[in-house]
Amino acid sequence: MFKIKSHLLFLLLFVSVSSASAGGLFVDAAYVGSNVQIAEQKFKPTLLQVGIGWQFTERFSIELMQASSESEDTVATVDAEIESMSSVMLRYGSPISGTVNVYMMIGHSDFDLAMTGVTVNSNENFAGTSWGFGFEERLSQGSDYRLHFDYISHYKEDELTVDSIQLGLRYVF
Amino acid sequence: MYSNFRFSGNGLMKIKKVITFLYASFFLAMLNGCSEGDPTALFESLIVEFNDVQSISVSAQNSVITTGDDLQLTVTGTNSQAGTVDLTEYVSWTVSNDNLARVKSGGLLESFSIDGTVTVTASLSNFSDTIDITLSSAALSSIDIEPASAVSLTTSVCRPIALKAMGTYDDATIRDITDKVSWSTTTPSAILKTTPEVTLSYYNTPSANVSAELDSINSGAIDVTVNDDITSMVLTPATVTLATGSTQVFEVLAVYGAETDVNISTTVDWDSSDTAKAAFNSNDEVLTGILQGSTTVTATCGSQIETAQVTVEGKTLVRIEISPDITSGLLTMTTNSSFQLTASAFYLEGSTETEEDITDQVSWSATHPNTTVVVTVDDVDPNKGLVTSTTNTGIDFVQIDYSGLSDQLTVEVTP
Repeated sequence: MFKIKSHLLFLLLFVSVSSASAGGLFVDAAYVGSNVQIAEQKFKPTLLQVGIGWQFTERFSIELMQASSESEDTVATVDAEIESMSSVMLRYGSPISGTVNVYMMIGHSDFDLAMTGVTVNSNENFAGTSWGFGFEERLSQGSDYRLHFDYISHYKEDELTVDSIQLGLRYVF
Repeated sequence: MYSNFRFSGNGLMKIKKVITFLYASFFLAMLNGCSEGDPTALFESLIVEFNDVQSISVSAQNSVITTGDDLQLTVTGTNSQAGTVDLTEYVSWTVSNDNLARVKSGGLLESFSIDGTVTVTASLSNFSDTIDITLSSAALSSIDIEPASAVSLTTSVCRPIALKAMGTYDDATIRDITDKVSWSTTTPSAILKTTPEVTLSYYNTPSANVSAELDSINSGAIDVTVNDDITSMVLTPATVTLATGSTQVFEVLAVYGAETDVNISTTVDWDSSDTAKAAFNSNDEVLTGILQGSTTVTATCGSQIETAQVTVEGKTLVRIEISPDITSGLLTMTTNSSFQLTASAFYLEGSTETEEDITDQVSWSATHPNTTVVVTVDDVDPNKGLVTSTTNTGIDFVQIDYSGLSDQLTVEVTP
């Protein structure tokens, strides 16, 4: 959590300094379908996410995202839920047409994973290096709205893997 | 002089680039090796819950091993229904003296070159068990084959004998070295299998022998007396039509006196009269079609000989499918209901694809990914392919296997 707060401070500092010049502040809302793999089982809880970011060059942008649980998933006797997830992602993109931009991302994710069952009652925080890729498409030529579809690997250890697919809408100011 | 200092457009861009660089450097430095949180405890408690573990026990083939040797440890869990589950790959291992040995994930104990005894502890969530392993540099002095009464064994033709090799060492310990010795038999009609356990069987009756060797120490040949006391046997199927590239599994059931329906499929001698048309692989019971034509399959065990006629067609099996082909990949059923599935084979003959109903020929099975049995599937005529849901809800898989191919269907049961 300390790292996320640090990133947030630097992001705000960076945005405030950079805002004096030309750039692009954007906000984002997305539906997140996650995939939690643990103990040879797959759980698919979902989240709703909002984000704020800054396009500071044509290719580079950075985004801070905050997601909250939308639904839990149950396998056998165990319920799994990602109660909240914070991510900060540095994005490097390249336009492939006038309206479509593809990009890859690297960053950091921090999430609270709750699992309850007959004998299991756990609510733990995990954080790790994240990476991903995706694309965004302007709804029309010159539109400020961009539909995006992303894959992000949030956490990967031998015993726990968490990744997600995100479908959302960005608005560029 | 300060009045001359101005933020020009270029100056602002430079400051922006410097800040960008500093932030990116800080960002990447923070990312370097920053995984936080240990999922081990959660992982282990979930394994316990999913497998309904009530206790665990650790075991090994031997409690004494030669220094420098490896030893596979096994952890077995017992659930509330008194069933057992292999938990070896999930437990955490600790060793009382890591100068003597270590245990790798998967339960393989690696010993070093020092004599002594270590206590190995296997832990899974709140459960644990221990085992003492003694490491000894004593040399092997002799090998005995079990079961062997004096120096001979007696068996029936085509009936496998499970063998063990027991080593006696200079420190007076006797250790199971079955998987370390080299096994051999001089008899051509012997089938010696070494996995998963060592078994020996004969499909003919001349006198025979078997021996085991390790570190230049030989057990000596054990004479095996093979009795041709088989009464009768039946080979199925008696006639087969096979596509090229497809396989057919044969079965031989034998009668030994009052004992009936003894499956000796893996121990009879299999032969195809025309191996250019269809052939057995390594003398097992699986025949593969090769070229269009016909051949006669012979199963021999002692004085008993049975044959089957095989026709190999000039078409090739491409794939098999469970029908109905659910486009969503998911068949939904309610609890306590039944649904008849069928199986189809798709053949290619030239450029023409043909479909054939093979519901009665495939092997049907259901797997339960979440331990709980959600559906069962019938694999016996006349109800082959009939899926029946239990009172449980959830997801199971139904699978068909035929001629080396398989297909799977996900079945979801809702209230």
